Parts: sequence; C-alpha cells; structure tokens
Amino acid sequence: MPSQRERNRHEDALTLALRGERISERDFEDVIMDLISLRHVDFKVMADCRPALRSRTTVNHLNRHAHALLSRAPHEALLLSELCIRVADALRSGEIDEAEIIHARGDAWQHRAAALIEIGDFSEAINAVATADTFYTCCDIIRSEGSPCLALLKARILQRKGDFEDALSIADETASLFLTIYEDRRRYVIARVFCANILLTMGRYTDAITAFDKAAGIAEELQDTSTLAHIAASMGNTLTRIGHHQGACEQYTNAMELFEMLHQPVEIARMRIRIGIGMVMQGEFDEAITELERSREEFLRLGMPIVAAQVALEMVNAMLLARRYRWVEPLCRGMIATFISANLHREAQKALGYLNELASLRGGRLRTEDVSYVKDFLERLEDEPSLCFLAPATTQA
Amino acid sequence: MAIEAPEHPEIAADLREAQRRKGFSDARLARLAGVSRKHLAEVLKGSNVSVRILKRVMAALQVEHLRLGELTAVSGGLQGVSPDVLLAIAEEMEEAVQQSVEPVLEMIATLRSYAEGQSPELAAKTRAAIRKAASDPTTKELAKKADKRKP
Repeated sequence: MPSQRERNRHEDALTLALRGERISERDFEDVIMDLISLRHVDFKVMADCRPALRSRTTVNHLNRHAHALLSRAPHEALLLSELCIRVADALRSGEIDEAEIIHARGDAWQHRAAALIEIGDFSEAINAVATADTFYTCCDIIRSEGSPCLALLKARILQRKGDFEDALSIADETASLFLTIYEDRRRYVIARVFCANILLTMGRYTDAITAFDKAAGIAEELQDTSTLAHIAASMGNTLTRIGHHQGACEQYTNAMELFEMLHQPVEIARMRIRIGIGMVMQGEFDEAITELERSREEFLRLGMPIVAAQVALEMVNAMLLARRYRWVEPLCRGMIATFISANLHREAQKALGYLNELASLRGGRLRTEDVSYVKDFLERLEDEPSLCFLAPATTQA
Repeated sequence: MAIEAPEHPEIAADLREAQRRKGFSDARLARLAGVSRKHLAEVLKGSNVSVRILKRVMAALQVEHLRLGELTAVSGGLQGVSPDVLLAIAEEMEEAVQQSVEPVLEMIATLRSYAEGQSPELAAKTRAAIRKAASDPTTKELAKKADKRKP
C-alpha cells in the first residue's frame, strides 16, 4: 500500500493529468510514470480511496488530453493513454453500466494506438488496435462509435507504411459508413479530409484539391472550425507542393487565424513556419526571417526545442539564399546558447554545434547541403530519440 | 395663492425622516449630496425631480429603498382603465424589454461562440478562400502538371 506522501504525489499527478497540464517539463513524465508504475493491486487500492481513479469522466478527460497532445508531444500522449488504460481497468461494474466500462476500455486502447502510430511503433499500434477492437466487439450496442474510428487508425498505419492504395480504400469505405450507417457528418468530414491527405501524399493533387474543397463546404455547414482550419492548412500544403506559394501563404494565414480562435498555439506556430518558408520561396527573405523568428520563439515557449531548432535552420537557409552571410554566424552562435538553456536534446545540440563550427570556419558561408544534413538529422531525431549525430564524412575529412 | 399638493409625498416623507435621523441640516445635506439648495428643497417637498438628483440625496442619507406611493398598488390604480390602453402599454413595455435584452443575448451568444473557437465570418472567409483556390485556373494548371509527375 503506498504511503500517504506517495498517495499525495499520485493525486497531484492525477489532478495534473486531468487538467492536461504539466507541473514542469521534468515532473510531467515522472509523476505520470509514477502512477503508471504502481502495481496493479496498488492502483486498485488507490482507486478505492479516490473515486476519480475509477471514473468514466476521468477516462474521457485523459483521452481528450492524450488526443490534444498527439501532434505536439506523442510520447506524453502515450503516457496519458497508458494511465487511461489503468483508470479504465479500475472502473467497477456496480458503479457504471457494464457496456460503458467495456467501451471505455476500448477508447483507452484506441488512444494508445493513435499515440503509437505518431511515434512510429506500428507493430505495437496494430496490437493496440486489435485490443480496442476486442473491447468494442464485446459491446455490440455501442460498437458503432468505436469500430469505424479503429478502421481509420488502420488506414493511418497503412499510410505511414507507404501502402497508400489500401489506406485510401479503407478510409474511403469508413467515410461512407459514417455518412450512410451512422449519419455522423462530423466524423464523415474528418474521414474525407483524411482521404484527401492520402491523395496528397500519393501526388494526386487535382483529386486532393477537389476533396479538400468538398470537405471544406461540409465543415463550414457544420460550423466545425477546427476541421476547417486543418483543411485550410492541408490546402496550403497542396498548393506548396504544386509550387503555388502565394496561394499557399493565403491558406496558411486563414488557417492561422482560425487556430488563433481555437487557442491552439502549436498549430499557430506551425502555420507561421509554413508562411515563412512560402515567403522564402517567393523571395521575400526579410519578411520570411521575421515570421520564422516569431515561430522559433513560440516553439521555445511551448517547450518544443527540437522544432524550434528546425525553424532556426530554416532561418539560416533563408539567410543563405538572401546571401546575408554576415547574419549566419551570429545566428548559429546564438542558437547554441538558446538551445542549451532550453534543454535541447544532447545530440541535437551536437548537430547545431557542428553547424556553428562550420559557420565560423567559413565566415557564415554555409552550404545548403550542410543545413539540410542537420535538418534531416533533427527530423529523424524527433521519431528516434536514441539517434547519435555524426558529421558527414566529406566535411570531417 | 393655492398650495400645490406634493406629487410624491411618500418619497418626501421617507427622505425627511432619514434626514431627521441623521441630524443633517438642509445646507449640509445639499452639500453632501452635491445638489443645489433649490433642488434639495424640491426633493424634500415631494416634487417631480430627476432620478439623478434623487439618487444623490439618497446616497447622502444612505437610503437604499423608497416607497413609491400609488405605484406600489398598480392593480388598484389600473382598475377601470380601457383594456386597449393596458394592452398597448404592455406591448410597449415588452418591446422595450426585448430591445434592451436582445443586444445582451446577442453579445452572450457571440462570447460563447468565440470561447468555443467559432467565428462564422472567419469560417466563411476561409471557406471562400479554399473554394477560390480550388477553382483558380493557375491552381488547376499547376496541379495538372504536378499530377503528371506524381510518384
């Protein structure tokens, strides 16, 4: 049985998790992990004292926060979903309807699957989808709410693995199900947007544009601002891919305004990067550097130093294209100091250090390949935190 | 010269009573209330004065409620009045209430929709921009070209 002190700590963790906030960067993982690491028996004992640890509302809260964290911090989303599984396990049949309990367990596993997909652990994600499916199958009455969502997750796994045709076919079928069987237009439009994004990945731009346009019409009808904002952002991505940068910037700006309404700072900062890159493509370097700088600061404030470092590299790129070599060296030097204080991943620091060294050696005249090399490394590091940075052989020589 | 009967004797009585309890002279009360001696005299006489002046005097005397005389017995006072007149007054009052409430309700709805992240104008603008981009000949041409070199 945990001590009173431990119980207080766990209660703090739960309160924190319910609010979807962190006490601090370091504490978040610690306290959640602490709660997860409790032995099954201990968790049940704690749930005896604390009704919130055996409540359907808690499961909903945790799932919602896990969902919100998916794109920003998938590892944290995974932790929350694991905690959610524990809470769902502690639900009691005497207190809640049996079918509700099974459904709650299915939901918790569904969110775990979503987080695993974001992290790139597809085999575990497939297992989680299968477990969720087992729960949904057990409660036929409310199965309808969960199963099509699982189908979309399966499609997402296939998409991430590069099996676009199958992903599209499943997503398309699921979208039709949402409309015809479940008459759920909100989910229908989300599924349609997903299909459009697969078309975009496949390079079927004309089809993707048509699909986004249709989905936007329905989203507006439904007053689904969030989906509409994502559609505008995806439309911007499509226009970027076909080289229509001015049009893309317009879409990103609209999406950014909607994300501002929705109070989604991560998405706002993401839109700013895309606007900045779009401006670089149009040769508007000064404006681009300003936008990117704002985005970099926002990501630092949001506790996402790796993304902030990637934005800084976009700034370096913009400066190189504008032939502002004198600006490159101080920026690289400043980056090191900023990111050390922001607790940037050690290997990411090494990568930036390498670039900084090159910049000072060459008086800011970096090659775009050098910047791309470091940028690629940071992108991979996001998915695989255990990666080590190695300077390219040619430069080392 | 005939003495004019006070229009609001209950108000006058209440205020005089409060003044007596406080032990304020007329000059002091006028000074405290920030009104002229003439206006104060009108108030204490029960004449028709503006609500602003009345409120000042009430504040100086720390009076929160006043009796309003026959207005407290509206039903009795309205007996015998033509139903048409009563209905007209009722409609007028209803309209006045609605006029004052409607903007407030509208504001509440706007606040709620903004809090929920909804802005119909912004949504319409975004939707229009997406439609425009989708039907833009440049977009179509670029997309068609890009489609040809799809992976």
